[in-house]
Amino acid sequence: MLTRIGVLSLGMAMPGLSQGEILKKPYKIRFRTMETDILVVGGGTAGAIAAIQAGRAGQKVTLLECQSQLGGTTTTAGVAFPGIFHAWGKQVISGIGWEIVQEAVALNGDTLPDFSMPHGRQHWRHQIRLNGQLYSMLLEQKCIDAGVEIRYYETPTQITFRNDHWLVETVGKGIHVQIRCRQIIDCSGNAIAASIAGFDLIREKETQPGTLMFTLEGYDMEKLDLNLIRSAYNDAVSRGELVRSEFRGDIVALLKTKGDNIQHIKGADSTTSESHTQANIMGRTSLYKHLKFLKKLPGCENIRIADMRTEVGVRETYRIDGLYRVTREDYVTGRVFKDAVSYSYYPIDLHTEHGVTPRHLAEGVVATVPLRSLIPKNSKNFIVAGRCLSSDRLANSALRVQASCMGMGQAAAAATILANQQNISPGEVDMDDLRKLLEQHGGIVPKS
Amino acid sequence: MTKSLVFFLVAVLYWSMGQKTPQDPIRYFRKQTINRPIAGVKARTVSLEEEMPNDSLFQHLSADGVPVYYTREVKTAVCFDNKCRQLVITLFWNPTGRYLGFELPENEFLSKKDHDPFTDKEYQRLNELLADPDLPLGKITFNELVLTSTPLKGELDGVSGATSENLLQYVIEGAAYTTYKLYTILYGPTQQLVRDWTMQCWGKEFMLEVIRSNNLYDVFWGLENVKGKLKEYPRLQEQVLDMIRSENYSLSEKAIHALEPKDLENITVQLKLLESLNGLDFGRKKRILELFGETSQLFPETVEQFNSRISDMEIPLKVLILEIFKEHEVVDGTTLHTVNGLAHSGNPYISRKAKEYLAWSGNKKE
Repeated sequence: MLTRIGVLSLGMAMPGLSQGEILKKPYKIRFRTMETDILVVGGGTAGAIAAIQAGRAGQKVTLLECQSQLGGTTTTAGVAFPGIFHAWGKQVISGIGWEIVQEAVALNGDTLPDFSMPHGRQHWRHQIRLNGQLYSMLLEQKCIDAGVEIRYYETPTQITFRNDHWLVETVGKGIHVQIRCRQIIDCSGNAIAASIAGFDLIREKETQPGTLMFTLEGYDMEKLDLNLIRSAYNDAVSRGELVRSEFRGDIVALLKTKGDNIQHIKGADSTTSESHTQANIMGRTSLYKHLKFLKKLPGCENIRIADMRTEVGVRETYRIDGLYRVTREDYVTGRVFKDAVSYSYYPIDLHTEHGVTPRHLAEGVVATVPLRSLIPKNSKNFIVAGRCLSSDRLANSALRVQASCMGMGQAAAAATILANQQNISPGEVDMDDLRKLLEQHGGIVPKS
Repeated sequence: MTKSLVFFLVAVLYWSMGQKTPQDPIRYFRKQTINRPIAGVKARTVSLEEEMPNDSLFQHLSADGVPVYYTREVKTAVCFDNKCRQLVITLFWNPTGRYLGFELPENEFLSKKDHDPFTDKEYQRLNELLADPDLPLGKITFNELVLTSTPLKGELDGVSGATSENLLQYVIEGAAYTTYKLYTILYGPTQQLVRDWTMQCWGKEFMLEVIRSNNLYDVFWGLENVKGKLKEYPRLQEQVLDMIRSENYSLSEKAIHALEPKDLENITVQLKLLESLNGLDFGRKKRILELFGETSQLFPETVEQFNSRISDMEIPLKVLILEIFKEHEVVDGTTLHTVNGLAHSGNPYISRKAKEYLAWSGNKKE
């Protein structure tokens, strides 16, 4: 009888399963451990390149990326317009980043700009328009080819240094991983790994705004009454319906650019899920409001969103407090450091609520990135690459751009490879060895 | 004669030197690519701008039928702030689509606000502005030009480019619309018509002159348009191969891109390309090697060169050569020996790639 009751109660608890269906056990976070030589945190502009470099040098590499694809600002945030690889008629950044940019251009049937003509004040004439999705695929393929283990949707939560190794706890969808590695390259853009590991970070009281990339269509610029639109816009701003700084006070520019790198979202911060959620909501709300406003104006009745990136791109959050801080003076004078590992060429490009006024480098000047600026003070077996390098705000506004980050990513990886091989820290590697390794992989290293 | 009268006469003389008088024929010209006397003119009707329907585009030809330049006689009203002036001018294009110059009919002159004639300096400036294919003027609409008389705050970045303040430097003061109008005609649909018409008269001697031009714009246009035709024209091909070694990065890069895999179906071309690798950077070397992978045949001399040079190549290029070997099914003894050496490399990545090739070649033999 009891047996019969037991069977009955079990039968009542079980849902009715059709043929081919199986019952899923309650959701449980799986825990696993793994070991790797080099852990790259962040698969964006610098990180994907760093991972490929390390893999091609024969290291066991794990790449953590909290999003679903590689490329970061170039792909996920949609600024598929990297630069600048050439300065004053010569190539200054090459290597893996350039290899993939070149392949993306060729595969998409595009051509490179004419680098022999000086760009004047229009530095973007030397930037390269990419198919972002294609670029992302190429990064992924190159990582796989180099033996890199890509781990999407994962982010570090705890980083500790023990017995000359890092122990990194990560969480992702349904998984909790403990990774033991010898070196960490922090390419998160926000220096998140450096912060978790306990190194000091620096941040400006007010950071540069972020930008949601989108494309508008459904209107003819030539047929618009721009004076009327501008006047209506000013009225809407006065009434508090629109925020002037969100499109730099220039509704005509929004229409002209169709949304290409024009929005400014104050305080956009990608360091935590909460702050990034907030930035994304602000970016989309701003677009939504402006779209609704424009739709009421003559000639814009059919305006619509043709495309919109999945998240707001962020220009500035945290920087490490490194062994050396690159200053604006270093940058604009083109100081060639003894430990320079890569070049950087871009105007000083600080975005503020009033817009941006690029300050171009004087003729012949190309800045360099010292290895020390990639290494947090008091660190061991740890290096960063990308916009979180140690630099003052103005130098950072130029160093943060994609080509420079690619160069830094490759250089940082080269330093960790040598450090691993020689059982030293990245800051202790011999510059000749570093140069040789980078050149073997197609990189360009400044000559001091 | 008093001092003040002398001063007055000198001032008048100086002023008159700075002004084009209505009697002078006014003509400003850039350097032509083709310098031959005109022997004939052909015309095509074009209706590209609303205010100039059924206008003509003229092709000026040499005795051997080579297009020397193209012209359009522009007659349109320039209206701004409800005031109109007649604009009568002949515009010239190089056969490559490049701006070549302008000429005013006898007794005609360009004028600014309040009908002030252009000075010599302004004509020269106009000539320079019109010669720059990258001016923001080409990317704005008329209503933006009108609007931009009100300064905007800040400046845009990225592709968006110019603001009102910036635009002022790209126009002749007091003749913004005249500058804009001429620029948009020069770089509008007429430019493509010119290029298309030139391509209909395609000839190897003409293209050779174009890619030998001192003007990079012409050379780049020429390189784009010889792509796919080099195999049939060895002299053109030779010129392009020489350009790969240019110190000008873009010239070299565009010369490489003018090549197609079928151009490498020739031992001389393959060896010349291998020779040119020496002075090139990683990116350009990679593109050349990719062409070897895409062409239909790899000559034994080329394989020999690859085997002797692979050890000095950058690591990604080593891997690329292994892929080229696989693509062309190269499994000779020397190659196997070379790759076997790579399989013992201290770099596990290279070693893995070499082993993959060896495994593939083993299967191939079976």
